[in-house]
Amino acid sequence: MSFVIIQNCSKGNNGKTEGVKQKFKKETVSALLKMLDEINPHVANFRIARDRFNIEKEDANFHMRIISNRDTDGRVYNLPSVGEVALIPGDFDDNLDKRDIVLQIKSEKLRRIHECHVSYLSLQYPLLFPKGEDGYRLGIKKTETNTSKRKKKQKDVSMRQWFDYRLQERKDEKHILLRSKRLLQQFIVDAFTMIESNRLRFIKKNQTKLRSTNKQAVQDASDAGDNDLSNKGKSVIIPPSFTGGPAYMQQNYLDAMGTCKHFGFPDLFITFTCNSKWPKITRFVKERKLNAEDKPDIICRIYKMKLENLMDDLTKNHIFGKTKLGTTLFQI
Amino acid sequence: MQGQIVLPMLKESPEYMWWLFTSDHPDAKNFRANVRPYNMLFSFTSLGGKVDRSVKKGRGPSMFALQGENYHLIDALKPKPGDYAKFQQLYVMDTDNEVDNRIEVMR
Repeated sequence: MSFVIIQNCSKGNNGKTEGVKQKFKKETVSALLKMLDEINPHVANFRIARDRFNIEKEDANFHMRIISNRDTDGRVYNLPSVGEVALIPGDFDDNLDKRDIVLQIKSEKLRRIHECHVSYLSLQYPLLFPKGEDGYRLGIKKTETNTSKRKKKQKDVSMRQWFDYRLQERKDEKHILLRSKRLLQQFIVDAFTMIESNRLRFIKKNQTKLRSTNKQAVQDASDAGDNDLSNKGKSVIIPPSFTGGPAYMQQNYLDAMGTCKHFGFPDLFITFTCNSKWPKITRFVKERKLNAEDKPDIICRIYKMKLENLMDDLTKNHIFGKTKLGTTLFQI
Repeated sequence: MQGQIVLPMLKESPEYMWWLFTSDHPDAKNFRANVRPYNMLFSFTSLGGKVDRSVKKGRGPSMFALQGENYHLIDALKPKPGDYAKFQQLYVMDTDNEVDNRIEVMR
């Protein structure tokens, strides 16, 4: 469990034995708690549950349900309102929205929260979203613009687009998310895994649309004479459109080999790395009294801009003469 | 794509949070050095997936790496018998000594 994480964290400081007592200032903890008690809707809801326990003692028999979606327009509202949490008497029945969080008084195992739950982020990051601001949810509509009217393909905002929007700095948005240093790092990693598992779920549920029947035939043939059962069961095929997956890697490899066969071997093999001391980066982070590692998004964007500039110099400005083909390859 | 995605602005963060993230006061500095533990102290859910600590702290930018499938877990309202309260249970159980309980959990 995640408790281990924190303990290791303080031991990492070589030599400095920072005890846990010094790590957390009691005043800060109680001040934060007071703040959350005043403004955080989730805290308020759990306090209601506490009061019920205090009144009903051992007879308490109810479960708590945190609703996963909203009826309001996602382009306008992003704060939870009253009635999104319900204390319902008795045991729960599962016929309501399965993404809802249901908390029983006692249960044997932990419940996993669906990443499309609207409070997924605010439950994990109470300090970033002290007012219980909504996270991503399904069914936020896109706004129609002149260019978008022609192609009416995707009407809802996707999870990646939602995070893209959130990670941009806006002048009239006074929020600490983008200033939160290591918490922002964790937030971004978390966001990545949310998007990834969201995509994987889509692939899993749309297997019939992929041409997976051929694979099944092969599987049957090999199963007939094979005693190895490790491959049995339902397998999920990840298509090459899933970035970073095995099929994606294979396809890119074959493409690279194909281009070599057609054009001959490459003349230039350039390694282009990022330097977090680039003046563009330091200027940006200094204005905000941060370090370069606190703004991984800015580092990535500046790197991408410089990389594209380099590719333009080579392929469009022809500084080394006319180019037949230029490809980029990312290595992490 | 331009202008198709319009989301509400995030509401202004409380003064106190701004103070913690910008002030030079030792308390605020201590907070900034331990944001993640502090956040964990108040979070309702626990983080699945392993935090990768193989990269040693030292020179160079600090980073955060996760390994394995990531998910957020939430426990029942009350802890199991004999277990101490954690995460959202701290908002429900023994709230008279809440501040101490929270610090104790991280021990």
